[in-house]
Amino acid sequence: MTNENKIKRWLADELSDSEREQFESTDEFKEIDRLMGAVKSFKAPEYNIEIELGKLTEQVVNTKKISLYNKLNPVWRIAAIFILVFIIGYFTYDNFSGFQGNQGWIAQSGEVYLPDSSSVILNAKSKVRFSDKKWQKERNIELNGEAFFRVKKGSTFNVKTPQGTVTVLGTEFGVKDWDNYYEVICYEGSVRVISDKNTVVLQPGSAYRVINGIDKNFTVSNKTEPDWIRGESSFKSVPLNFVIKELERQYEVQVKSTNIDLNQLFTGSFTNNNLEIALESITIPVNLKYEISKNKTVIRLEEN
Amino acid sequence: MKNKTNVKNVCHEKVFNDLFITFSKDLHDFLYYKYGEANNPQDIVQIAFEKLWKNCKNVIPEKVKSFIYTVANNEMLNSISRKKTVLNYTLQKPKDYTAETPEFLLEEKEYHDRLKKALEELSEEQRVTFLLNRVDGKKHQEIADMLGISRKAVEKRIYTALKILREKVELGEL
Repeated sequence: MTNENKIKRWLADELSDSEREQFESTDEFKEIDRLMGAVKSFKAPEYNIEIELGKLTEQVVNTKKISLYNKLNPVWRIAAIFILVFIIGYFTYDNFSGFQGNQGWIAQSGEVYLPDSSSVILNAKSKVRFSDKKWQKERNIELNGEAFFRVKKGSTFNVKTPQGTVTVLGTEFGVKDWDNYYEVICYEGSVRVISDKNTVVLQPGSAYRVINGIDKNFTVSNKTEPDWIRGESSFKSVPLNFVIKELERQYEVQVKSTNIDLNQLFTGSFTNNNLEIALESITIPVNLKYEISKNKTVIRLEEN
Repeated sequence: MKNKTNVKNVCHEKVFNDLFITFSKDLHDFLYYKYGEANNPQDIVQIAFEKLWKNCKNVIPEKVKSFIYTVANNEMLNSISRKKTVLNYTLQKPKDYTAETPEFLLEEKEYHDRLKKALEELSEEQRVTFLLNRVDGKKHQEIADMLGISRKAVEKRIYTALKILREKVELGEL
């Protein structure tokens, strides 16, 4: 058997046991084996069939809706719009669950249970809104602020905030959306984030953040839920002004600062349960001093 | 109720979803190995299945595989920028890191770099066939079915690819 044939048959797993043993003890084989081992590191990236199917289904459903509309002749299209507007108008004045009183926003502390027993925990000053009725078909929830989600497996679950949309099938993750600060952290499962800047898919322990228009991926280690659930606000390389804004929300205070570099990066945390200790945690690492007003509502910060 | 023939309808959501589950990953890996990561194999898979959905009345399940591969290849070729194939690799850290000398690690990295370049320089057919077999573990016959070629052709491509890779990697820069 020529060498070429031997190799071909080895590649096809067609050598007898003794032929194979003999071939695999040669020097030539050592070289081939090293190559085959190294080649394995060129494996294609993971393809998550569930998530991709979710994306496809969404896309296809949208196209279906649009094409149905296009099939109508023009007169009927106008009529369709009016009928749609009328129905929307009618229902918003009706007992449309989730959209009464406060226009349906829920801002309670503690765990908010969604119709399928997925749950959401809201951070300070945050609120969510969703439709009870539509929950079976599509789980869409609007968020203002920051929340931690525990999503049961089921239909696509979308969290919409001003700066992006997070899509998951069943998992645990946190979303934070404040002015110029957008952050999604995946604790379990996997999530897809669509923001103005980018679309990314996050695995457990990874996070995506957009601050002042600049986006980056980073990792969070060994966490199953965000620190704020246990009363601690923590930050990793975050510009100081966002840290201060979180303090304002947690303690319902207003912070006034003079001559401070608000862009300097802060890594650390502060407690949500004691204003003075929290202020120490923020000011000491960056060499600032603070002063609390008499009525405890205004904090002055300046350089030490 | 009139009993329709056993031919499943691709326009049925369940049938369509099952087809996606069956074929999507292989198609994705195929596109990645053939065209590299710069051309968004994930998106192309989406597009191929969207087109399948639009044409679901005209495609029977038996023809689905060749349909999506044809559409996917065409979409790729139509892609505006024909970037050079770029494969990525994550260099596996040796098990006992401290036991390896810096010289060894450097040599390993250079070896991988030569291999990367050599893989990118293979013809698309050779690269796809070789990687589907050696990395994804697909058997010769499976690959033949996937690509619509003979088993002999698959064997030849893999052997030729191996030959070229060995030449380029062992001798260093040619």
